[in-house]
Amino acid sequence: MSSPWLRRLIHVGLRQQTLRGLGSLAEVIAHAAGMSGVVLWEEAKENETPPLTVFAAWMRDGPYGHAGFIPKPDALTLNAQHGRTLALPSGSATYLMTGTACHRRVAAALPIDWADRRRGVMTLLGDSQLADDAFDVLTELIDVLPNLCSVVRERHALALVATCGSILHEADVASPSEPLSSDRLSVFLGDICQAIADGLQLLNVSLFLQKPTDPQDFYPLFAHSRPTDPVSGSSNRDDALMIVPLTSGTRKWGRIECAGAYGPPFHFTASDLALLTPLGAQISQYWSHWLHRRETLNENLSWRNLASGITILNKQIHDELGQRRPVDEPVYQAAFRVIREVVPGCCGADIRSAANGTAGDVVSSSHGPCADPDAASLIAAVVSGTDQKDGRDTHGEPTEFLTATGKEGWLVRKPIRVSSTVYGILGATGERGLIPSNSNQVCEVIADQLGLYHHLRGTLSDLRKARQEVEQTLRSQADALEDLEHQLVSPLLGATARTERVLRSGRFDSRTEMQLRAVRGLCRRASRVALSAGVFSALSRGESPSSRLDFLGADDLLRLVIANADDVQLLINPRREIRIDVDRASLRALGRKLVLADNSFLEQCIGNLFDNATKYSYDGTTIEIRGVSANDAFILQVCSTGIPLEPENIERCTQRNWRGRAARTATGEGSGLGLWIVDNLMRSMKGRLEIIAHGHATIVGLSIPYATGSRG
Amino acid sequence: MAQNPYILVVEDDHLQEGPLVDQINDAFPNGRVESIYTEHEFREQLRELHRETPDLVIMDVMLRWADPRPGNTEPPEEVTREGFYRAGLRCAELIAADDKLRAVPVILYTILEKDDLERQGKPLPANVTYVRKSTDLDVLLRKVQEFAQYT
Repeated sequence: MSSPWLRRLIHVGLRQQTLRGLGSLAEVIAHAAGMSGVVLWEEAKENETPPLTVFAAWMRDGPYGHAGFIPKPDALTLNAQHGRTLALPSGSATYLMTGTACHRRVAAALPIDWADRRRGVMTLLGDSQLADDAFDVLTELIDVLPNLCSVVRERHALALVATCGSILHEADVASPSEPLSSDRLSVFLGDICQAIADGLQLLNVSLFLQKPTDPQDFYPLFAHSRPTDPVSGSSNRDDALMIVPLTSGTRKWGRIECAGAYGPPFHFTASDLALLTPLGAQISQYWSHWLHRRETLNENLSWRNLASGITILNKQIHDELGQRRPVDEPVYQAAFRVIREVVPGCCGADIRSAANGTAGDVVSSSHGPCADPDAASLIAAVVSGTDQKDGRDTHGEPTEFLTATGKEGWLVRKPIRVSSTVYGILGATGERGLIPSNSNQVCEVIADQLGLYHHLRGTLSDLRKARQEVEQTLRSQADALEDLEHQLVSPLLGATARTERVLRSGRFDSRTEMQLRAVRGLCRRASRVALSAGVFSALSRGESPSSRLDFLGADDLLRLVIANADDVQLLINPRREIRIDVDRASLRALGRKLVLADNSFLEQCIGNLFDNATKYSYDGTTIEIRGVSANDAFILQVCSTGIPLEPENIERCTQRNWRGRAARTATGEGSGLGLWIVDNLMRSMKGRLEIIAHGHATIVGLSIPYATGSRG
Repeated sequence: MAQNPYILVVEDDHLQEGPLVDQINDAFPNGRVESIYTEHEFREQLRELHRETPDLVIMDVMLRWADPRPGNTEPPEEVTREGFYRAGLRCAELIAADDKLRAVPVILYTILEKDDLERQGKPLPANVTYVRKSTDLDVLLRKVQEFAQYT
């Protein structure tokens, strides 16, 4: 007889997914016992009245109770609870109030021990007595009922957790790269509230969550379930409220508030609270994770804003440093803007002087100076260098303080300095209780930038002064060189002319003539060097040499070349056995054509090329001078064999003070000015300097433009 | 110094070296004057001077390292670092550091100021006498004759 009821009870129990399933279990028991109703009670909390609360119930002739009605256990039920034995009516009948104006006769009450070790009672309702065989069946069913109820509850809890997990997963999928906005998250949390409301048959479930910035404050209503109009009735009870704390470890994240139960047992039991606890943990975990993600996002955003802000600040610094007289105020205001935009809640910033005697004076501010009672002591510490120990600040950490208006605020101060030089103190303040986590670093970075600005400003100022002094010195030197040129050239030209005249007018023995020609060569060489000094001074002042172009024919060029070649040959050390060979025929090939050149400049150019050729030629070689007719110019080429010039260095030959490595290490002498001067002189004559190098052979050419007109 | 001294002239500008040698020859007709033109050449002949030690060295300061030749050897690191502006000074220091040559008097004959030569706070070697170059060679010759008189 009993086995089918037991199988049925187990079968029904294992099919249940919701708490309504507990009522189905009660129904099976009622049928098995031949009763019209069954009420399952569980022990109330200590000192609570009534001592028993309805856990589940089933009535054949209609729903049990109604919303807002809390049934109290009848005497028979209380007897069973206290006596822990079967209680049967004796004498007058016992009734259980199942509604405001509804009562049912109690047939029997049996003690029951629930799986969580709490004690309870099963009350059987019906007009007939409990039969013996029915009692046997009940005894068998009561054995498994607690565990079956636990299974139903656990499955219900798991189903709720799974539903919530699924909703939260959807929330994650909806925005995988960054946390959801508060509004969108509210929608998902509202779905969770609705799932709880559906599962527990509630009209209203609300979720309160802690504000991220203030652990003492909560969002008043972050999410709640939608209003429900259940078929089974509507709740009108205000006192039926269950609060489930949202906790994770010792941290409290918020709470779930449940109200308006519209299904049996129409009130909340300790089991309901236990059922929602894992759900609360799940929501707590998600919330803390969301807060963390949002904090990380805000932090990343903060650093991105800082980076772009510093770019703008540096642009401002760059613009100011480009001015002859940089102004600090635009730079300071740009720095303040960065701080206000990057540090949450920052409402003001200032810069105070750290100069001795004026320490603490506000030199610039945004939205008024920061109130700071300890500014003076920090400035004194910074100026004296006692604010750092082992390279770390001992002052200037963000602090909380009361503003002049009595509000709670925070303040950060950072020294503006480079190395041991202190330029000022940067301060930032806000009127919120919680110090923004990035305030310290942001102010430190901005203060460092301002320190660099002041350092650069000072350095640039020094450099400008030094440059002015150098330019002044260079101008003086150039003037002195020019003066020297004038003083030198005149006597040297006179000496050259007189020597020439002596050579032409008299007859001398060969040794004397050789000495005189050498003297003439030395005078001409010295004149050329003096003239080059004049060109050098003009170029040093940034001026271009001013040429006086003349028409020159083949004879003129030949005379210039031979005179210079003669001088070089005479002045070169005979032991080196270097020969100068002028290809006269190639020079005469100019024919009747004329070139346009400044005679003096051309002489300097030819002389410089000969000097270079003799300086870098190998002993025993020949320096060949020849003329080459090109389309638009006549080219005087000096061909020599000596220290090789690397082809990749040809363009650098005409740079001021540049000297090839081979030349530098082989002879050690030379200034690197010769070809630079020649190049400038040729340009001033619309000609150009051409250099060809191949191995040990070097050809340096002076390309002199043809004249389009004729000699006047 | 004997009346037929052996004088070594270290000068890379033959336009100055020629008249100088002529003047010394005129002053010491029985003497012998030899010329060295580069620092490299001087370093090469340093050991040769052990065999026949000069009575006096007249040393220019700004000397070229070497005449250009195919396959010239790289100069020592100190030459590259200091350049040709201190070449004569390096040669004088080589003499001062040589046990067999350190007694040989050296006249630094240069257009550089003495302060320039001692600019790194390093005094000139004990055997060195400074004479500034001028158009009047007699100044140098008088100094040479002083050495001839007291040695």
